[in-house]
Amino acid sequence: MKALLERKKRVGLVMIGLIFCALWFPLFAAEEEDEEEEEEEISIPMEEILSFEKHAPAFMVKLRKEEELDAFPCMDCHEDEEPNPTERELEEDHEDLVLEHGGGRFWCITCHHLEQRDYLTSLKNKRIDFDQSYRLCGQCHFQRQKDWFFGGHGKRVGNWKGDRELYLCTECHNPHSPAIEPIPPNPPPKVRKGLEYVPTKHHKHVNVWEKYLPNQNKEEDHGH
Amino acid sequence: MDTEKTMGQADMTSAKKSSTGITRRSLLKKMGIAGATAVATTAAGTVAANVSGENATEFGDAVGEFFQDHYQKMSKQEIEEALARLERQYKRKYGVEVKVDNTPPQPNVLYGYALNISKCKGYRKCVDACVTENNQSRDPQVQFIRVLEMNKGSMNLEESDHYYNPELVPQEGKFYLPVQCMQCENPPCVNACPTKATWKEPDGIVAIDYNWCIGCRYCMTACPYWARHFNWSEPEIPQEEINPVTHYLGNRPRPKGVVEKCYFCVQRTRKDQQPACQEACPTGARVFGNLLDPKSEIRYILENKTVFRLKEDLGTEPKFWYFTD
Repeated sequence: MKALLERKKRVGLVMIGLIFCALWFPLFAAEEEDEEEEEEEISIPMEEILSFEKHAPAFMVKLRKEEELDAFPCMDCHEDEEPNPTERELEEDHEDLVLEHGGGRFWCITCHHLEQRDYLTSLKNKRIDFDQSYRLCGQCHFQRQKDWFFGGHGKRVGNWKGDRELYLCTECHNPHSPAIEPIPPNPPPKVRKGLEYVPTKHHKHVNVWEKYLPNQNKEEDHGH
Repeated sequence: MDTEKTMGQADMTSAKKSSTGITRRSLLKKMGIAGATAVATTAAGTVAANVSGENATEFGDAVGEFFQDHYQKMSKQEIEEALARLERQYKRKYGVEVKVDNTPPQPNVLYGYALNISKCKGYRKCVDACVTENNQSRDPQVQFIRVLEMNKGSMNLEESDHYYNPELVPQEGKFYLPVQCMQCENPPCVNACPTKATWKEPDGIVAIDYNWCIGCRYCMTACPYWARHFNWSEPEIPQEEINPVTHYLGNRPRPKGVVEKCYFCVQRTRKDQQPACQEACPTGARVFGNLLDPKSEIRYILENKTVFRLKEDLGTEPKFWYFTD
């Protein structure tokens, strides 16, 4: 009898233990799920990424944020500041910025994450890494983005064969004023010896064409 | 009437041949071959004696060069001897250790090029990179790439301007059309060459054996793209600017009196690298790749963009396409 009681007691203890654990388990599990959900909430979920990226031949990008961006990580300065989403005259380190992109319709936080300054932000307020900026640009410039994934826009660096390494959009375009300004060309070729520039009358601008000179140069050394 | 006459003549010739057993022409030919063989054998002996080792003399190399066969006919050993000889000759001429290699074409590769004329801004960065990479003569200037400034809305090449030099490019109302060797699938220059010094390689590159070229310039007249250039005088390259990484069919320094042209940077592309012009282009207008790889960028462009080729109606089948965004 005593032995039976002992046994019941033991079983009871085990049961209590089990119930206790069972009560706690969902709590632990819920906590883990929360973390995952939070991560999903702040970054773009894979299913929302345009299918072009999934179907394009594998590529990697020439990383920029650590190597090229002088002020990165941005949080070094922005950590202590209260985020201020209102449009205003930019001061201090950002006073040189010319914000021409979008013809004045954009403000910093259109592309930069308000709270987490080390990230960019999507239109649905999801976090985007600086080194995946093509996902941000592609929200509007989707046709260009498609070409970029497949090699019709942008530049492949490294070899033509093997791993594809691409320049990010921001390697060539200044994201704040993306239009590329004209630059001076490299010098023109020389006209061959014994020939001279002859403006062609069909041309409205000053133009040139090669034409044989009269025989006056015959005695010179025709090295060419 | 004419046909009968021709046939009659043919009969007469054959009759003449059969009566004597040997024609004057064939006798002379046989004698010539015998003589040449004798000379060649003697010379080859001399060359072999001179070539072996580092003690090869300038004269020995000159003799060896004289008797060097066509690139496609040389045995592996003969090619190696030719490469070593060239390296010695460049060392003497330029004082630089130039490496001449002979990387073979890669299997299942056919090179193709596409150029986005919406993106080309006429900076001429490709031209300068090409000159440096390919040991092109600086004076007189030889340039494989010719960037044409064109009037928008027109494809009239006669109204293009090769010597444009405004303060800034691109200019309003202009677009830029770089032209270089198109590595035609049906190259008229190859058909024109009387010595077969130029031919199409298995990877599609139209190559020149500068040691076999006699400088007749027939190929230049045959080329509708002005892609071939002649070395009218001894090419001048500053010693410090010589690119020592070269290929026999590519950027090895050329002598006076031969024709040269773009070869898609064979010394780079056969080692998986991009051509120098692609690497230099800051706008990403240039796309290079393997036409036989369905996943390559060039195939995407050919399949998805509006492409055209220059003077397509001539049937030269260039492997160089232009496209717009």
